Order: sequence, then C-alpha cells, then structure tokens
Amino acid sequence: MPILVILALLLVSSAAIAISDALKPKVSRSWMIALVGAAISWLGVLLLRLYLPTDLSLFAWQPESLFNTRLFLEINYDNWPYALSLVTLCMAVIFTDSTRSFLPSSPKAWANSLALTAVNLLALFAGDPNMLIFAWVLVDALEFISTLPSRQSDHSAARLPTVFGVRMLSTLTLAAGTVSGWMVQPGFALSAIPSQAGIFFLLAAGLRLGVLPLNLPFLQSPEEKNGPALLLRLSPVASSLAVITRLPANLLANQPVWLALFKVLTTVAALYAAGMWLTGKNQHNARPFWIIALASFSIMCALNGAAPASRAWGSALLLSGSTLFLFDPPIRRIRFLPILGILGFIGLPYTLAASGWEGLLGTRFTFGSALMLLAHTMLVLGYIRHTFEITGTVTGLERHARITYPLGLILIVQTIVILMLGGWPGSLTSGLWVAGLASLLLAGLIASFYFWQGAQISALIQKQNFRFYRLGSVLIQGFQNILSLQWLYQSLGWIFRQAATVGLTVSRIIEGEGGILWSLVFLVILITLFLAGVPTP
Amino acid sequence: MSTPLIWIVIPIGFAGVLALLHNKPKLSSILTCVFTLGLVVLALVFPKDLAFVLPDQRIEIPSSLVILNRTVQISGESLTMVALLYAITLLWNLGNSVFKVSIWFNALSLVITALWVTVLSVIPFLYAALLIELIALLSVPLLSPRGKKTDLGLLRYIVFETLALALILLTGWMLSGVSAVPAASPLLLRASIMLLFGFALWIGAFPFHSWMPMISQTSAPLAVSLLLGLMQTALSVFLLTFLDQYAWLRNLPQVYTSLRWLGVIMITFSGLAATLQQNLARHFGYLIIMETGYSLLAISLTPQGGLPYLAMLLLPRVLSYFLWGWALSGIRQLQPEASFEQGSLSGLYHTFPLLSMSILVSMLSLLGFPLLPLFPQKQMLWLLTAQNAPETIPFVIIGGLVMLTAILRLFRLFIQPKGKKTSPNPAGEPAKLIVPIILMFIVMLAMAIAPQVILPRMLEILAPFTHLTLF
Repeated sequence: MPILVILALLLVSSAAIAISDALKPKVSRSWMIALVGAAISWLGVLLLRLYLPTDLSLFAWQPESLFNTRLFLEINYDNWPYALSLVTLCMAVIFTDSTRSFLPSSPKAWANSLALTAVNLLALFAGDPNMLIFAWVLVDALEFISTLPSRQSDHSAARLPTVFGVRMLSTLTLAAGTVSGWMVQPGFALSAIPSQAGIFFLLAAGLRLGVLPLNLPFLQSPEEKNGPALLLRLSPVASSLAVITRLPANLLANQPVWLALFKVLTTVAALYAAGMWLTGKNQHNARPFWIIALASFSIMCALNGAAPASRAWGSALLLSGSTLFLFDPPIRRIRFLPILGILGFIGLPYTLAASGWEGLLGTRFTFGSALMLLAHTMLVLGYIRHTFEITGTVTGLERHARITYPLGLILIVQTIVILMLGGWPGSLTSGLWVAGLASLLLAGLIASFYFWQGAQISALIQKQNFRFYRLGSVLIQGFQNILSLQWLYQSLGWIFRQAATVGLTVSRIIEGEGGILWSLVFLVILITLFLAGVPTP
Repeated sequence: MSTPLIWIVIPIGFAGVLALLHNKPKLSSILTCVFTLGLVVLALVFPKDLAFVLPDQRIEIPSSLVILNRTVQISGESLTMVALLYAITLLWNLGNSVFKVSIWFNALSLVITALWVTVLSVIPFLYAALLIELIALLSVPLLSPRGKKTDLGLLRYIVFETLALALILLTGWMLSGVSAVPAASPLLLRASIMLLFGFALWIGAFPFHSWMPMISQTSAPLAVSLLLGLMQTALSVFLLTFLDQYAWLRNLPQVYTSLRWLGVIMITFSGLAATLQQNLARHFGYLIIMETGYSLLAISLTPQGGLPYLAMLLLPRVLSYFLWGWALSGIRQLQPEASFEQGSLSGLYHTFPLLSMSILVSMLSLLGFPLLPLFPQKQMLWLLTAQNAPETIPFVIIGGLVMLTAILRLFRLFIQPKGKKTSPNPAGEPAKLIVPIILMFIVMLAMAIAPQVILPRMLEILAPFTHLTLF
C-alpha cells in the first residue's frame, strides 16, 4: 500500500500544479506544491528501506487457466536504490529549477517531472514482466506527450520516430522475452527471470539505454540544460537499469560465443563513450556518453554473472551525473558540491561504487578488465575536467535560490552517502580496493602528465595541439556514424525503396484490369497442385 | 415468438421501416441506435435456456423457425455472438449519426447484421453461402454511394464472393455422398480443399485479397470498417461451425497445418504490403488481412487451446477498427479534400493531433502492442505458437516488425514539421469528434490492463461448438 500512496502523491501533486496553473497561475504556489509532493515521496521511499522486501499484488488476469499474468508491484534491494535515486533526482530538479522560476513554462515542467517520476517509479516497482511492459509504454507515451510539442518546428523532430522506434522495439523485445520465459516458467516474476529469457531482457534494456546495440539517435541534437529535461532523459534510464540488476546469474552461460561477443561490444561501447565524455565540449554535450559509459558498466556486471553489482554503477550514473548536470548556472563559490559527486563513482573503499568492481572486472582480471578500468579512469578524468571547466556569467542568485539551489545539489550528495551506508546488503565495503586505487592513480598520472607538459586537459581536443587531428577526427566521425546506426537506417531505406518498386509493380498487376484473371490463375494452380497429390480411387 | 423472429425477422422488418424514413436521417439514426441497443441488451440478459420462469408458469421461447423449408436456429448459447454483432452495428450507427455516411446506412447495416446472424444460424449451414452472397450485394450501396462511379475493387469483391459461393455449394454437393464413402476417401480431401478455397476467397486470403485495400481506399472509412469488421467476425465463427460439424474435416491432419500456414502467410504478407502503401486508407485492408491471419492462427491451434483467444480477440479488434474508421472519417469531415495520399499527410499531427494519434493507436492495437486491448490475447497466442509451431514464429515476427515499420513511417509523416511554426487547425477538433475518441481510449486501456472484466464473457461464443477443444 505505501507504494501506491507514493505514486498517488506524485500524480496528485502533478495534477494539482496543472489545475492551479490553469485556474490562477502563480509560480511560487506551483513550486511549493511540487516540492512538498516530491519531499513527502522522497521520505516515503526512504522509509520503505525499513520494510524491504515488500510487494503489493494488484490482480490476476482471469480466467487464470488462459493467462499467465498476475500484475504486482515489488520493492526490494534491487530496485530500491534506483527508486531513491529517482525521487532524489526529481526533488533536486525542483530545488535547482528555482533559478528558472521566472519562466512561465516552469510549472508545466514541474508537473511533467512529477508525473514522469511516478510513471518511472511504477516501472521500477514492477514485479512481473507485463507490469514492466505497461509501465515502459506509459513512460514512452508521457515522454512523447511532453517532448513533441516543443519540437513542432524543430528539425530534431525528424529523429523522434527513430527514438520511439527503438523504444517500441525494446518493448516488443521485452514482450518476446516474457513469452520465451513463460515457455519454461509460466507466470514468472522479475526477481526470477529464467535464464532462457535473460538475453531478451538484456537486449530490451540495452536498446533503451542505447548500449546494445550502441545507438545514438540524438547525438546531433543540442542537449537541453534545464533540470526537467535532465529528468526526462535520466528517468527512463533508471527503469532500464533496474531490469539489468534482476538479470539471472547464469546469463548466456550456455552460449560462450554470444557471451564473448556481447562483452566485446559492451567494452567497445564503454571505452568509446568514456573517451567522448573525457573529450566532450562540455558536460551537457557529453551527457549521452556519460549515460552510455556507466550503463555499459552495469551491463558488463550482468554479463559477468554479477547483475546485483550493477546497482553501484547505475546509482552512480543517476546521482553523480545529476550532481554535475544540475550545476547550472555554475556558481563559483559552491563548485565543491559537484566535486563531491565524484564520491558516487570513484570506486575507492567504502564509497558507493566500491561494491561494483567485482561485477565490472569479473572474477579473473583479463585484458577486457583492463580496458574497463581504463574507461573508468577516463570517466573520472572527464568528470573532474568538466567540473573545473564549467564557466558561467551568473555571479549571484535570487535570495530564495541561494538556499534552494545548493540544497538540491546537497540532497543528491546526501543520497549518495545514504546508499553508500545502507543502499543494499554489502554496499558499505572495501570491495576490490586495488581497482579503485589503480584507476585513481592512473587518472592522477595522466592529469599530472598534461599539467607537467604545460597543457590543460582540454587542449587535447584543440586542433593545433593534436598531431594527428585530421586522421583522428575522421576516425572518430566514422566511428560515430557507425554507432549512430544512420548507415543501417539508410541501408534499410534503400532496401525498402527497392522492395517498394517490386511490390508496387506486383500490386499494380494484381489490382489492374487483369487482376481477377491473375487471381483465377492462382486459384486454378493451387487447386491443381493440391489435387495432384491426391491418389484417384 | 421465437429467437430467430426477435433477432432476424423483426430487425429486417424494422430495416424496412428505416428505409421509408431515409429522408429523415436524424430520426432514423435515433431509432436504429435505440433498436439495436435493445437487441443487444436483450441478447445479453436473455436466459440461456430460453425459458422465463414466472411464479405460476414457465414460458419457453422456441429457438428455431422454419423459412422456405430451411431451419434457422438461435440457441441460448449463440446469443453472445448475436449481441456482439448487434453491438458492432450499434457502435457504427452512432458513428453514422456524426458522419452521415449514407442515407441508407441505418437500414442496410441492420439488414446486413440480421443476415450475418442468419448465416450463423441456418441449418443446413451450407446454405449460408447464398446469404453471404446476398450480403455482398447489399453492401454495394454502402461501398459505392449513388453518383459515384462503381469502383473496380467493389466489382472484384462481388466476383470473389460469387466464386466462393460456387466452391462452397460444390462442396455441399460433394458432401451429399459422404455417408456412403469410407473415411479415407479422396472425396473428403477434395471437399475439404474446395471448402478451404471457398473460405480463402471469402476472407480475402492472399492472393485473393486485392479488393480489400481497393475498397478501403475508395469507399467511406466508416462503411468499410463496419462491413469488413462484421464479415471477419462472423466468418471466423462460421469456420468453427464447419470444423465442429464435420468430424472428417477436423480430423484431417493437414487441415490445421494448412490453416496455420495460411494465417502466417497473411500476417507476413499484410505487414510487407502495408509498408509499401502510399495511401493511408489502403492500410485498413492490410490490417484486416493481418487480423484474419491471426484468426486462422488461433483456429489452427484449436487442439492446443487457441480458440478462447480467438473469441477474446473479437471485441477489442472491433473497437480498433471503429477507432480507425472514426479517425479517418473525422479527418475527411474536417478536410473534405483529404485524399489520404502520403504527400498530404505530412504534419497531420500538428493539424489534428488526436485524430492522427487515433490512427496510430488503432494500428498499434491491432499489431498487439502492449497497453492496448489485443495485447493480452496475442501475447498468449504467440506463446502457443512458439510452443506448438516454432517454425512459424520467424514469419510472425517479420510480419509484426514490418507492420511496425509501416506505423513508424506514418508517425514520421504525421509529426513532420511543416517548415514554419504551425498551429492546430483553426477550427480545431470538435468535441463531438474528440469525446468518443477519449472514451474509446479509456475503454481500450481498461481492456488491456484488466481483460478479465469484459473478455471472459466472450468465451460464451464458443459454447455451441461442443466438438472442438475449448480449454
């Protein structure tokens, strides 16, 4: 029941803002409603930690002999960290968005944020596959409704069908996984995904995260900097990450070739994304790469048979990332706050990501593990670089924002600490302390090298300082083109056009004047073929 | 008083009255809606044993009526199907009151529904072929309104239905000697081949499908969706009558395999063909073909328990057709010059947001997309297919994926920016068009989330088929 109360509270707050804004617009009132709704929900989710695991059965489809579905919600150690991260993000967005309270569109954005959080929480709490499928569709529908009007005359609207096409494909993959799972275990719960179906669940989550296969449809679109836009981008990620956490331990155990292939693809995705994150123009432009890099870490944990370890990297993606992304406008005096966000993914003993190393590197240290360690180093370097390079013209804030804005960032850091201390059994651990230390040392060495050379890290991306700039840029551009899957869409388009030419010709013949005769010929041929196989008495 | 009198003779008589009132469309619409609503409610509340127990007596309503030496029988178990057919008519007549498709719509829709009820009730049931031909002929005024040149697709429809009539009657003639031949006789195989080809022509199976997209393009969307929806619903159940009545037919090992492959080919073909269409209205023909494919797939899985899903598909499917017909009719009403050609669809979302989304939702619903009402049943059908005929699964997946591609192509067209800042249609989408859509969305959503509320009732449609494996 508390689960429903939390969801209802968020939805009611969202509706209240919409109604209040429609009847008598007042930004401060809308903001207060949003904040109160989000704060109580945050507290509710935090308190749920005391009652884990808990579930809420909704209903079963009848007759039960004909359906395998019993819709229920469940909260356990796998999804609770993500739920808390998501509600924290929502609350932080509302806190930090107080700097934009002068905009008349803000109340609508807050209402959207609350509704989006509620629907994504539903996806996170889903206990059975069909509940998750429904929640994903709701998330996509809501995202579509809140995205499309703003892109009415925007050419990035042309990319929306690709984005939603990938989402639909991921939903249908999940539906296929459900059917596949039912073949061995009818009515299974998400906490016990059959290994046969695991690959479908992995692909479904991978598609939504943009990792498996790597796809970056919005790469060329400018990333919006405001908080609600960040929530819009990160909340579906949370619900996908929660699926990865629940993947079976023996995922692809019987198919070593596929397992190896997926590991290679994931490693490539992680390395590429970490590299792009490090060299990105600024944190907002590089945001998709942050998501892909850490999502790859989570997927690698699942591929290494330690899916629960992915919680560490998933939480880091949401929390550390949002600490940095929400630091806008960048106020110099509180620059230490986003730096604290590094606690979420640095991986040193007794920090949030310490428990994630074993999953990421696997039981044996291999070349792949070294590459993942390198990717982590690049992420750390990129994070530090973006934090120090943030510049802005804003030197002060309005009186209320001077309190609420840093409070939003502090809230995220505080949640990192909460998850670190008791996010799940074993979250407070020294973990593979060598890995965390190695990554930090490597980052230190690389950073020192550049400072020693008298160059700043950002100079790396400047043309004149990069000897093989042209070759490098061509390679990166080519790689990006491959990863954005534009070649695939163009090839499919070409095949489609050729097929259309043939198909339309056939269609013209069948629907033309002689169409009936053609059909009769078909009929006679088919009857003859059938009867030819019949022995006469 | 008998059940055929209530649900066949009286409606046909009432249709005659409506025909006289064709110059008063509003009155005619109201009368039709009230009358069909009454028939639906009566069919739903009528006792299954057709007996009313009063304090001092028991009144039994006869279930059969003899007309021209043929018996028409509507048992208590068949009343759910009767209710469904009249509910479809009711829904579309409500639509006609808004869009005014034809002055004959009310009367003809009622007669056609009554005839479909007769098709499912006539004994010997092979005579139903004649009635189906009659329905095809009565559909002409609805599909080709007065003043318009007769469409090639319509002519083709009549030709195929007539060919089917010949094949089915030929089957009847061949079967007259069945009792005298051994069970393994080639005569039975020939009869079943004739029968299956007759059905293939009726349902517009590939390669006899060409009339469906053609009439979808040229005729009024509401009329096409009603006629094809009724036909598909009734013929699916009619095929069960054949399987139920003829033991030799259902025991032929090739029958279920043939039906399965025919269904799978229709699913794959319709998806492929839909992606090639340049005219939005033509998509409907292919959606019908896809759904017929799913019906055949479910029937082919009868021994494995596929029939309940067929029964539970009927109502949600009809709602999706209605949504499609409503949305297209709405666009045509607001933009009479709308041709539905690809070029004219660009940016449709920005002009008619809800109507354009309704088109996509209805297509997604028919595809079996989650959170839409066909999903629960189709998901179970996919499971049954994967368990019992895994070799067909790749074709079903291809069919679904290419249909999804067709939907995404439309989506891309609809949301395409028009270059300059666009604003919704100045006249907007009137409430009389929007409110039914919203209501339909709510009903569809409820059916998808909680199918147990309404759909189990649809299982009663299968009650008369005592020889088939139901659960």
